[in-house]
Amino acid sequence: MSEKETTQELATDLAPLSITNFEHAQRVAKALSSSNLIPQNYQGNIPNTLVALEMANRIGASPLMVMQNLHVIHGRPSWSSSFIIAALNSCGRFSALKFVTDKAGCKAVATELATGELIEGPIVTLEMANAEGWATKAGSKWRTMPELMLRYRAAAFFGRLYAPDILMGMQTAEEAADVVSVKKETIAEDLNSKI
Amino acid sequence: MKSNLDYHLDTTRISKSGLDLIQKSPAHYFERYLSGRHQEKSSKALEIGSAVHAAVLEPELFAETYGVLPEVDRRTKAGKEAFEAFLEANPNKAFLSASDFQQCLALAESVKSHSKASKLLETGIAEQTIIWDDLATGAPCKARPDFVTQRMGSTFIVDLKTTEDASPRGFSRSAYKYRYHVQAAFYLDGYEQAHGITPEAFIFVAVEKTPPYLVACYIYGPEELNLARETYRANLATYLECRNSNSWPGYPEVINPLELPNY
Repeated sequence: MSEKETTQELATDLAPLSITNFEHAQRVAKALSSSNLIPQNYQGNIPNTLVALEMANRIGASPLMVMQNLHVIHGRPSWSSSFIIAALNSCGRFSALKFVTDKAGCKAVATELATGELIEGPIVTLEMANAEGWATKAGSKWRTMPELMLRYRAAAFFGRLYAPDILMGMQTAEEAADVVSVKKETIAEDLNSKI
Repeated sequence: MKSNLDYHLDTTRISKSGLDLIQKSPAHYFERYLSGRHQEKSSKALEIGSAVHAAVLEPELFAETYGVLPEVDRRTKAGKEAFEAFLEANPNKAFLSASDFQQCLALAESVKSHSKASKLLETGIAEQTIIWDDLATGAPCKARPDFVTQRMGSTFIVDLKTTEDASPRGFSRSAYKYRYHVQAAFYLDGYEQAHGITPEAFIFVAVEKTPPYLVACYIYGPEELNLARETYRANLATYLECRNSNSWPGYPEVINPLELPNY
């Protein structure tokens, strides 16, 4: 392979939506978005599907998997927590995520495969959920399923610290729903796009 | 399923209207719901309000239940007889004057022509009673949402309000006066507890009572809802306290400083 060809390949990998392959991505997005097997937010929506393709490309996941696990909560794209756990488990850098719970709270732990070192995420507690206003919000799942929420949040914190490339700077859907300071204008905008 | 009448007769649970009376004074609540002395007064505004709700939310029920009063001169003996004969011939119907009937239809048509309101009221369940015990206080509660609809996997509670002024400024004032923010929070929490589903929003469809019968849709944000939550929980706590002690006080028996209103 010539030096010129190698440079071209690298550039394409780093910029999947560059002009060079935008048309190709758009064609793929058009085909995918016309399927009724994909989630409703993407059906007939080429721009949304293009974004999902771009994200799938970046994290090396299948576009369908991304579409099924990428939610728009109060106008923000967010991963489902179960997807984050699956992505951490399959990324090849850590052993399967485990949750350690005691009176202090819940933390996610895993072994870093390259070094054999045990890595611990921050402890999440119900006091934290109350203090942050996650549990007091209307319809909060912290009130109805606290055990699951503790583990989801512990996984999100672990991912944010040790695998931010997988989260891509995004919150989990549960975190986004917990944000109490969402402006009503944003909610109204979100509703207007849905209804 | 509870009928509208059953819903209103059930005094073992408190509704948003009950909360409003508790806010005014527990004595008002007692008088209205527990004294046995209260007699429902029918007013033209209430009758038209019910008819508009039926015309918009349950058009088939409206067609079955409502009719137009005959134009007879009830000051004459013949007119009176004709009028009474008409009512006897139609025992299960409610009647509106021709102009009121037309007004109801015009309001319903206007809601139907509004792109958002019509979608919200396209498919769903109208006037279904929900009952629950409040999580924080344990108070037995009830509500009867105008309309509940599912769209794109989300649940929305829709409430129809007829109003003099549906503009943002005008509706905001009447909404505060009638404590619609309390209603929104109370219904959202109640629905979640009764059905295990968190509604995404409580949406008001405000329709003006006079031509051109303009329609506007509104929601409250998290801040208003959280404030309303505190308010209704305080009302519920007062209600429980009064119920447990069987004491329903009126206004405090002290001399109060009187404020000028803020307008």
